[in-house]
Amino acid sequence: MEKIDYKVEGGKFLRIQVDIKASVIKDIKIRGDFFIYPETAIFQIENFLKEKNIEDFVPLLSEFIKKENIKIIGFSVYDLKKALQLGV
Amino acid sequence: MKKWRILETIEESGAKQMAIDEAMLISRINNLVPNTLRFFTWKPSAITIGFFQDLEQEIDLNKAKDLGVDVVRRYSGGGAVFHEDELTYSLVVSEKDVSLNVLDSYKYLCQGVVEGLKNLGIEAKFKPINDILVNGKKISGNAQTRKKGVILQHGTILLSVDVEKMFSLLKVSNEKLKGKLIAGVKEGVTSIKNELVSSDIDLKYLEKVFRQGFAQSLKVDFNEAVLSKEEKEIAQELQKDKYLSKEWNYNQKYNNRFYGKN
Repeated sequence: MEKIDYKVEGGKFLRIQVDIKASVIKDIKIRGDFFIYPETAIFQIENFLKEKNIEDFVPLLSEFIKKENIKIIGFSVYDLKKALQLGV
Repeated sequence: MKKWRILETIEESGAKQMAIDEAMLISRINNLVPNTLRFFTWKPSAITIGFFQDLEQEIDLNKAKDLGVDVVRRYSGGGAVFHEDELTYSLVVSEKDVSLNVLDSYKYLCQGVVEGLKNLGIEAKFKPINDILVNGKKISGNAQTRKKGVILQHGTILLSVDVEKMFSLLKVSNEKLKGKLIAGVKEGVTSIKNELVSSDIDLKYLEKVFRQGFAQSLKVDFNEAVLSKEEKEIAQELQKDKYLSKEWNYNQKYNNRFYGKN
Protein backbone atom coordinates (compact mmCIF):
# COMPACT_ATOMS: atom_id res chain seq x y z
CA MET A 1 0.00 0.00 0.00
CA GLU A 2 1.23 3.45 -0.84
CA LYS A 3 1.32 6.09 1.92
CA ILE A 4 0.02 9.59 1.24
CA ASP A 5 0.22 12.42 3.77
CA TYR A 6 -1.93 15.42 2.94
CA LYS A 7 -2.59 18.54 5.03
CA VAL A 8 -5.98 19.99 4.25
CA GLU A 9 -5.87 23.76 4.05
CA GLY A 10 -7.76 25.08 7.07
CA GLY A 11 -8.50 21.51 8.03
CA LYS A 12 -6.89 18.37 9.37
CA PHE A 13 -4.07 16.04 8.38
CA LEU A 14 -4.88 13.01 6.25
CA ARG A 15 -2.59 9.98 6.43
CA ILE A 16 -3.82 7.57 3.81
CA GLN A 17 -2.65 4.08 2.92
CA VAL A 18 -3.96 3.13 -0.49
CA ASP A 19 -3.59 0.62 -3.27
CA ILE A 20 -4.59 2.17 -6.61
CA LYS A 21 -4.44 0.22 -9.90
CA ALA A 22 -5.26 1.99 -13.19
CA SER A 23 -6.97 4.80 -11.22
CA VAL A 24 -9.17 2.29 -9.35
CA ILE A 25 -8.96 2.05 -5.55
CA LYS A 26 -8.29 -1.55 -4.60
CA ASP A 27 -7.81 -1.00 -0.87
CA ILE A 28 -7.74 2.09 1.34
CA LYS A 29 -7.21 3.11 4.98
CA ILE A 30 -7.97 6.73 5.80
CA ARG A 31 -6.27 7.78 9.01
CA GLY A 32 -5.54 11.18 10.54
CA ASP A 33 -6.53 13.75 13.15
CA PHE A 34 -9.99 14.53 11.77
CA PHE A 35 -13.45 13.80 13.20
CA ILE A 36 -16.22 11.64 11.74
CA TYR A 37 -19.64 11.14 13.35
CA PRO A 38 -20.36 8.35 13.99
CA GLU A 39 -16.73 7.23 14.21
CA THR A 40 -17.38 3.75 12.84
CA ALA A 41 -18.56 5.31 9.56
CA ILE A 42 -14.89 5.49 8.56
CA PHE A 43 -15.01 1.75 7.86
CA GLN A 44 -18.17 2.18 5.74
CA ILE A 45 -16.46 4.96 3.78
CA GLU A 46 -13.36 2.83 3.20
CA ASN A 47 -15.50 -0.09 2.02
CA PHE A 48 -17.54 2.15 -0.24
CA LEU A 49 -14.39 3.47 -1.92
CA LYS A 50 -13.15 0.03 -2.96
CA GLU A 51 -13.32 -0.45 -6.75
CA LYS A 52 -14.20 3.22 -7.25
CA ASN A 53 -12.24 5.29 -9.75
CA ILE A 54 -10.35 8.16 -8.13
CA GLU A 55 -11.45 10.49 -10.92
CA ASP A 56 -15.19 10.10 -10.42
CA PHE A 57 -15.88 8.92 -6.84
CA VAL A 58 -16.60 12.42 -5.47
CA PRO A 59 -20.35 12.67 -6.29
CA LEU A 60 -20.90 9.00 -5.41
CA LEU A 61 -19.22 9.31 -2.00
CA SER A 62 -20.96 12.63 -1.31
CA GLU A 63 -24.32 11.00 -1.95
CA PHE A 64 -23.41 8.00 0.24
CA ILE A 65 -22.35 10.27 3.12
CA LYS A 66 -25.57 12.23 2.84
CA LYS A 67 -27.72 9.11 2.67
CA GLU A 68 -26.01 7.55 5.70
CA ASN A 69 -26.12 10.86 7.63
CA ILE A 70 -22.35 10.84 8.20
CA LYS A 71 -20.67 14.07 9.31
CA ILE A 72 -17.02 14.66 8.47
CA ILE A 73 -15.07 17.50 10.10
CA GLY A 74 -11.58 18.44 8.98
CA PHE A 75 -11.65 17.40 5.33
CA SER A 76 -14.06 17.25 2.42
CA VAL A 77 -14.65 14.54 -0.16
CA TYR A 78 -12.93 16.81 -2.64
CA ASP A 79 -9.85 17.07 -0.36
CA LEU A 80 -9.78 13.29 -0.34
CA LYS A 81 -9.69 13.26 -4.15
CA LYS A 82 -6.83 15.78 -4.17
CA ALA A 83 -4.90 13.63 -1.70
CA LEU A 84 -5.47 10.44 -3.72
CA GLN A 85 -4.35 12.11 -6.93
CA LEU A 86 -0.94 12.54 -5.28
CA GLY A 87 -0.69 8.77 -5.20
CA VAL A 88 -1.11 8.23 -8.92
CA MET B 1 -30.65 27.34 37.20
CA LYS B 2 -29.95 23.89 35.77
CA LYS B 3 -28.05 21.44 37.93
CA TRP B 4 -25.07 19.50 36.70
CA ARG B 5 -22.94 17.04 38.58
CA ILE B 6 -19.24 17.74 39.18
CA LEU B 7 -17.03 14.81 40.09
CA GLU B 8 -14.00 14.79 42.34
CA THR B 9 -10.70 15.39 40.55
CA ILE B 10 -8.60 12.27 40.32
CA GLU B 11 -5.10 11.45 39.14
CA GLU B 12 -5.01 8.16 37.24
CA SER B 13 -3.55 6.35 34.22
CA GLY B 14 -4.68 7.20 30.69
CA ALA B 15 -6.56 3.93 30.26
CA LYS B 16 -8.45 4.50 33.49
CA GLN B 17 -9.29 8.12 32.65
CA MET B 18 -10.57 7.21 29.18
CA ALA B 19 -12.59 4.35 30.69
CA ILE B 20 -14.17 6.72 33.22
CA ASP B 21 -15.06 9.20 30.48
CA GLU B 22 -16.81 6.49 28.51
CA ALA B 23 -18.53 5.11 31.64
CA MET B 24 -19.93 8.61 32.23
CA LEU B 25 -21.13 8.71 28.62
CA ILE B 26 -22.87 5.33 28.93
CA SER B 27 -24.50 6.25 32.25
CA ARG B 28 -25.73 9.54 30.78
CA ILE B 29 -27.17 7.69 27.75
CA ASN B 30 -29.03 5.40 30.14
CA ASN B 31 -30.27 8.44 32.07
CA LEU B 32 -28.70 7.16 35.27
CA VAL B 33 -26.77 10.38 35.87
CA PRO B 34 -27.27 14.07 35.04
CA ASN B 35 -25.04 16.15 32.77
CA THR B 36 -21.58 15.96 34.32
CA LEU B 37 -18.27 17.79 34.41
CA ARG B 38 -15.02 16.53 35.86
CA PHE B 39 -11.35 17.48 35.91
CA PHE B 40 -8.46 15.07 36.02
CA THR B 41 -4.70 14.65 35.78
CA TRP B 42 -2.50 11.87 34.39
CA LYS B 43 -0.19 9.50 36.22
CA PRO B 44 1.95 8.31 34.57
CA SER B 45 2.21 10.85 31.75
CA ALA B 46 0.40 9.60 28.68
CA ILE B 47 -0.07 10.07 25.00
CA THR B 48 -3.56 9.73 23.68
CA ILE B 49 -4.25 9.32 19.98
CA GLY B 50 -7.46 10.11 18.17
CA PHE B 51 -9.91 7.41 17.09
CA PHE B 52 -8.83 7.72 13.44
CA GLN B 53 -5.08 7.73 13.91
CA ASP B 54 -2.67 4.91 13.16
CA LEU B 55 -0.86 4.17 16.43
CA GLU B 56 2.40 2.97 14.94
CA GLN B 57 2.49 5.75 12.37
CA GLU B 58 2.05 8.47 15.01
CA ILE B 59 3.93 7.28 18.10
CA ASP B 60 7.45 6.03 18.83
CA LEU B 61 6.28 3.17 21.01
CA ASN B 62 9.79 2.17 22.12
CA LYS B 63 10.48 5.69 23.28
CA ALA B 64 7.18 5.78 25.16
CA LYS B 65 8.14 2.55 26.89
CA ASP B 66 11.60 3.89 27.76
CA LEU B 67 10.16 7.07 29.24
CA GLY B 68 7.36 5.25 31.08
CA VAL B 69 4.69 7.10 29.12
CA ASP B 70 1.36 5.30 28.64
CA VAL B 71 -0.19 5.20 25.18
CA VAL B 72 -3.93 4.93 24.72
CA ARG B 73 -6.43 5.47 21.92
CA ARG B 74 -9.30 7.84 22.71
CA TYR B 75 -12.91 7.25 21.76
CA SER B 76 -12.92 10.74 20.23
CA GLY B 77 -11.25 11.79 17.01
CA GLY B 78 -8.60 14.47 16.67
CA GLY B 79 -4.85 14.34 17.03
CA ALA B 80 -2.18 12.83 19.26
CA VAL B 81 -1.77 14.63 22.58
CA PHE B 82 1.03 14.37 25.14
CA HIS B 83 -0.51 14.73 28.60
CA GLU B 84 1.91 15.64 31.35
CA ASP B 85 1.65 18.93 33.21
CA GLU B 86 -1.97 19.71 32.44
CA LEU B 87 -5.43 19.84 33.86
CA THR B 88 -7.86 17.93 31.68
CA TYR B 89 -11.62 18.30 31.73
CA SER B 90 -14.32 16.05 30.43
CA LEU B 91 -18.03 16.54 30.29
CA VAL B 92 -21.09 14.60 29.23
CA VAL B 93 -24.21 16.44 28.21
CA SER B 94 -27.41 15.44 26.50
CA GLU B 95 -27.64 16.67 22.88
CA LYS B 96 -31.07 18.09 23.65
CA ASP B 97 -29.44 20.48 26.15
CA VAL B 98 -26.96 21.64 23.49
CA SER B 99 -29.00 21.80 20.32
CA LEU B 100 -26.09 22.76 18.11
CA ASN B 101 -24.23 21.07 15.30
CA VAL B 102 -20.79 19.65 16.08
CA LEU B 103 -18.79 22.73 15.06
CA ASP B 104 -20.99 25.16 16.98
CA SER B 105 -21.12 22.89 20.00
CA TYR B 106 -17.32 22.86 20.19
CA LYS B 107 -17.40 26.63 20.47
CA TYR B 108 -20.19 26.57 23.04
CA LEU B 109 -18.64 23.89 25.25
CA CYS B 110 -15.08 25.27 24.97
CA GLN B 111 -16.34 28.56 26.36
CA GLY B 112 -15.98 27.11 29.88
CA VAL B 113 -12.22 26.93 29.36
CA VAL B 114 -12.15 30.42 27.80
CA GLU B 115 -14.04 31.83 30.81
CA GLY B 116 -11.81 29.94 33.24
CA LEU B 117 -8.72 31.42 31.61
CA LYS B 118 -10.34 34.83 31.79
CA ASN B 119 -10.88 34.28 35.54
CA LEU B 120 -7.11 33.76 35.76
CA GLY B 121 -6.52 37.00 33.88
CA ILE B 122 -5.65 35.29 30.58
CA GLU B 123 -7.53 36.48 27.49
CA ALA B 124 -8.26 33.49 25.27
CA LYS B 125 -10.26 32.82 22.13
CA PHE B 126 -11.87 29.76 20.62
CA LYS B 127 -10.48 28.88 17.21
CA PRO B 128 -12.39 26.47 15.01
CA ILE B 129 -12.30 23.55 14.69
CA ASN B 130 -11.40 22.61 18.26
CA ASP B 131 -8.66 24.80 19.72
CA ILE B 132 -8.38 27.60 22.28
CA LEU B 133 -5.68 30.20 21.69
CA VAL B 134 -3.98 32.91 23.75
CA ASN B 135 -2.43 35.61 21.56
CA GLY B 136 -2.57 33.21 18.63
CA LYS B 137 -0.89 30.37 20.57
CA LYS B 138 -2.65 27.13 21.43
CA ILE B 139 -3.33 26.52 25.12
CA SER B 140 -6.10 23.94 24.84
CA GLY B 141 -7.14 21.20 22.41
CA ASN B 142 -10.56 19.59 22.58
CA ALA B 143 -12.27 16.53 21.14
CA GLN B 144 -15.85 15.36 21.08
CA THR B 145 -17.72 12.16 20.41
CA ARG B 146 -21.47 11.68 20.27
CA LYS B 147 -23.38 8.51 21.03
CA LYS B 148 -27.13 7.93 21.22
CA GLY B 149 -28.03 11.54 21.95
CA VAL B 150 -25.20 12.30 24.36
CA ILE B 151 -22.04 14.36 23.81
CA LEU B 152 -18.75 13.47 25.47
CA GLN B 153 -16.22 16.26 25.15
CA HIS B 154 -12.78 16.27 26.72
CA GLY B 155 -9.97 18.76 26.43
CA THR B 156 -6.60 19.81 27.71
CA ILE B 157 -5.65 22.89 29.69
CA LEU B 158 -1.87 23.13 29.45
CA LEU B 159 -0.04 24.10 32.64
CA SER B 160 3.36 23.79 31.00
CA VAL B 161 4.66 22.02 27.92
CA ASP B 162 7.87 20.11 27.24
CA VAL B 163 8.01 20.31 23.45
CA GLU B 164 11.26 18.30 23.14
CA LYS B 165 9.86 15.43 25.18
CA MET B 166 6.61 15.56 23.24
CA PHE B 167 8.41 15.36 19.90
CA SER B 168 10.65 12.56 21.08
CA LEU B 169 7.44 10.53 21.44
CA LEU B 170 5.68 11.58 18.24
CA LYS B 171 6.74 10.35 14.83
CA VAL B 172 6.74 13.01 12.17
CA SER B 173 6.21 12.19 8.51
CA ASN B 174 9.46 13.82 7.45
CA GLU B 175 12.31 13.48 9.98
CA LYS B 176 14.27 16.19 8.19
CA LEU B 177 11.55 18.67 9.10
CA LYS B 178 11.51 17.68 12.77
CA GLY B 179 13.71 20.61 13.89
CA LYS B 180 11.49 23.09 12.09
CA LEU B 181 8.36 21.46 13.50
CA ILE B 182 9.68 21.66 17.05
CA ALA B 183 10.53 25.34 16.55
CA GLY B 184 7.06 25.89 15.07
CA VAL B 185 5.30 24.22 17.98
CA LYS B 186 7.41 26.14 20.52
CA GLU B 187 6.25 29.29 18.79
CA GLY B 188 2.67 28.14 18.43
CA VAL B 189 1.92 26.68 21.88
CA THR B 190 1.60 28.34 25.25
CA SER B 191 0.56 27.31 28.76
CA ILE B 192 -0.86 28.76 31.96
CA LYS B 193 2.58 28.88 33.60
CA ASN B 194 3.90 30.68 30.55
CA GLU B 195 1.13 33.26 30.61
CA LEU B 196 1.09 34.02 34.33
CA VAL B 197 3.79 35.95 36.14
CA SER B 198 3.71 33.59 39.09
CA SER B 199 4.26 29.99 38.10
CA ASP B 200 3.26 28.80 41.56
CA ILE B 201 -0.14 27.39 40.69
CA ASP B 202 -2.28 25.37 43.01
CA LEU B 203 -4.30 22.68 41.27
CA LYS B 204 -7.23 23.08 43.67
CA TYR B 205 -7.37 26.77 42.80
CA LEU B 206 -7.32 25.99 39.07
CA GLU B 207 -10.15 23.49 39.46
CA LYS B 208 -12.19 26.17 41.21
CA VAL B 209 -11.45 28.74 38.54
CA PHE B 210 -12.39 26.45 35.65
CA ARG B 211 -15.42 25.10 37.48
CA GLN B 212 -16.60 28.71 37.75
CA GLY B 213 -15.77 29.18 34.06
CA PHE B 214 -18.04 26.32 33.06
CA ALA B 215 -20.76 27.43 35.49
CA GLN B 216 -20.71 30.90 33.90
CA SER B 217 -20.64 29.74 30.29
CA LEU B 218 -23.17 26.92 30.63
CA LYS B 219 -25.33 28.85 33.11
CA VAL B 220 -25.52 25.90 35.47
CA ASP B 221 -24.93 25.07 39.13
CA PHE B 222 -22.79 22.13 40.12
CA ASN B 223 -23.57 19.47 42.70
CA GLU B 224 -20.46 17.73 43.98
CA ALA B 225 -20.58 13.97 43.52
CA VAL B 226 -18.51 10.84 43.05
CA LEU B 227 -18.76 8.22 40.30
CA SER B 228 -21.83 6.01 40.71
CA LYS B 229 -21.47 2.29 41.43
CA GLU B 230 -22.51 1.51 37.83
CA GLU B 231 -19.99 3.96 36.41
CA LYS B 232 -17.22 2.41 38.49
CA GLU B 233 -18.13 -1.08 37.30
CA ILE B 234 -18.37 -0.04 33.64
CA ALA B 235 -15.10 1.89 33.89
CA GLN B 236 -13.34 -1.11 35.38
CA GLU B 237 -14.52 -3.34 32.53
CA LEU B 238 -13.67 -0.79 29.82
CA GLN B 239 -10.25 -0.12 31.27
CA LYS B 240 -9.32 -3.79 31.26
CA ASP B 241 -11.06 -5.02 28.11
CA LYS B 242 -10.88 -1.95 25.89
CA TYR B 243 -8.39 0.78 26.79
CA LEU B 244 -5.62 -1.61 27.86
CA SER B 245 -6.20 -3.97 24.91
CA LYS B 246 -4.04 -4.19 21.80
CA GLU B 247 -7.14 -4.73 19.69
CA TRP B 248 -8.45 -1.28 20.60
CA ASN B 249 -5.19 0.63 20.79
CA TYR B 250 -3.79 -0.75 17.52
CA ASN B 251 -6.87 -1.61 15.49
CA GLN B 252 -9.76 0.52 16.81
CA LYS B 253 -11.64 -2.69 17.53
CA TYR B 254 -13.79 -3.29 20.58
CA ASN B 255 -17.11 -5.01 20.64
CA ASN B 256 -18.87 -2.73 23.07
CA ARG B 257 -21.82 -4.39 24.79
CA PHE B 258 -22.97 -1.14 26.39
CA TYR B 259 -24.62 0.57 23.42
CA GLY B 260 -27.01 -2.11 22.20
CA LYS B 261 -26.94 -3.28 18.61
CA ASN B 262 -25.62 -0.31 16.67
